[in-house]
Amino acid sequence: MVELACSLHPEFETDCTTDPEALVEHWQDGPLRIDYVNSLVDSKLRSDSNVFYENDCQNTASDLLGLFSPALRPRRLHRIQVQFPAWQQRTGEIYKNHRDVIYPMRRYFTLLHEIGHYLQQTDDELAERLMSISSTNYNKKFEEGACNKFASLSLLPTSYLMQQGIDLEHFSAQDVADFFDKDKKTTQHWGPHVKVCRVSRQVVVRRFADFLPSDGYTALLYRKRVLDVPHVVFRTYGDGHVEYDLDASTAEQQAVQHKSVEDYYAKMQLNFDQDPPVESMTVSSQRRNSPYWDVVVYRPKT
Amino acid sequence: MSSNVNNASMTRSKPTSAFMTKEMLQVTDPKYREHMLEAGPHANQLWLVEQDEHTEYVMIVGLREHDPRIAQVIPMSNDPAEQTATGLIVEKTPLGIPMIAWPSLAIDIPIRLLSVPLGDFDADIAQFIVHNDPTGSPEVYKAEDADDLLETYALYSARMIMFQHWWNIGQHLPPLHQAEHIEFAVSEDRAAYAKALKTVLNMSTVERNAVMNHGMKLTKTQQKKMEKAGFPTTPPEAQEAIPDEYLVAAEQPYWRKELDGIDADGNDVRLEIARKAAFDLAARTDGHGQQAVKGAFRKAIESMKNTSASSGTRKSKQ
Repeated sequence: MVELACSLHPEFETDCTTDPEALVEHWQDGPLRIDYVNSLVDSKLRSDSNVFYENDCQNTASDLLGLFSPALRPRRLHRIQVQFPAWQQRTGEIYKNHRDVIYPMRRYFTLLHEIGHYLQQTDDELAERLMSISSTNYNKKFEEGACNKFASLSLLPTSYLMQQGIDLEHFSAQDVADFFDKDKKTTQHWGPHVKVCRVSRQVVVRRFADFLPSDGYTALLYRKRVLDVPHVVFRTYGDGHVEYDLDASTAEQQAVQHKSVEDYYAKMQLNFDQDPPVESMTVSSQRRNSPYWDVVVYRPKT
Repeated sequence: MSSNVNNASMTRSKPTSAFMTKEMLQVTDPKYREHMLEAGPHANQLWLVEQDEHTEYVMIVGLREHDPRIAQVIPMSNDPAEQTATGLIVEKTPLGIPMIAWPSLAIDIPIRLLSVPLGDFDADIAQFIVHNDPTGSPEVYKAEDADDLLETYALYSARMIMFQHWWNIGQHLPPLHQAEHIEFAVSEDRAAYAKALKTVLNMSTVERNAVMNHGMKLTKTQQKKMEKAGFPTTPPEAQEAIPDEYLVAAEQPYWRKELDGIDADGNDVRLEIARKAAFDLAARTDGHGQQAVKGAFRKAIESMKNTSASSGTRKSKQ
């Protein structure tokens, strides 16, 4: 799908890795129209029976983030709509928080996910694969999985990760966390004084699992306070399957605890040379405002 | 038939229309109700069961392990005139008034019939009720036949028949574990049909996908052309298995108010919603946590309401 996207729009890879805002302009040709809207709640497209949409699955009906509506007669245009908050207007207004960084990554992922549906539905070869799957369950799962993968690969191509100096065969959790922290850049769209976070922590952590053996995994854990037992937001395995919303395993808890102590010693400028409790697991812990995010990389011994 | 202490006790405690116990005030609070509906039914709860014009109190013994859409319940009543010697008087109840329980009538009913949560029995009281034990507590004791035996037992029989009818509804729910029987496969028939939509009808890719995967119907002219080319007028069906979490979620009393208002053209609205929610869960297909399922249900209900509202427009589009 990435190759198809590049063949349709040669600037695709550059747009995704430098300024995803440019995707809207470059893909607004021919039969596709892309709009940012303040809210998808009132979108007339929502009642179309063939709408594909992404949401947060929260409790509110207004949780839609994006939708793709294919062109069926009498309409001739395929439509993508992506929701974003009013303060992130595309033109004429630049949002600055106190760190001069903005976080439109959810919007970018959604936009690419919907472009993925557009490709799946309009390319003969891709669409025929979907049409021939014998079960609705697998058909839906396949298409949605493909669109997520497309978005992830577009935002974080392997070549791009390697260009950032990451050793994709031996990376640690710290490498993953550092990449997320450093991958903020200025773009033409938002101007020279604002840095843009293109990709969410979740997408970064999940992407790195692609470079692990099938039984290895990356995981994102969450703690409210330093001594809390961490909770697993998700674990993504090298073979692609994902587990959500779990208790941390004993190994993960030990690894996180060890890291917390290690960080404390480092802060106190004290020597800490205790061996990690789980050799094959690396952890990076970061505090963002109040909660702690822990990234775990588990690489089984061969 | 003589009046007795038990009858006198329940008669004294029977609330008038102007009398509300503090427990009643609590369980009728909208926030409390919303919270209990969100939490879902569990053992030892008192609920109101409603279907059409019929209303009954029940205590939930527990949800069935093999099928959490089914609850084992014990019928109850707040009317002392309905007591029979086969029942128990329960002095301490979530409503703050004595009630009658019939443990011998314990039966399974689908939780879709549960309408209003009315609080929890104390755990020990609940156990005496479940075990039909009138000796374990002064607050649970054997009932006696009311004065009008004939009418009482007529009501008792009618109650049994009603619960039997509700039991029967539970026997016809869609089966669970459907997804276990679905395997990933490519269907040559579907592939051939999809190709024919292009070669015979010159359909665009999106139109073909709409026909194959989204129920778009061929026009009469298109159907004739397909038949002439040796193909049926509708594509070979894809297998479909609604995951258990959606079938279970569709039965929850939490959704009852919204689902009761939806016209599903004679189909089981809960099945339709479950199907829509299962297959409209975009981008989170690997995450089927409770919140994800709930969000999908909201979307599905909204979509069905929109579909009903715009059905006239949809017909003209076709």
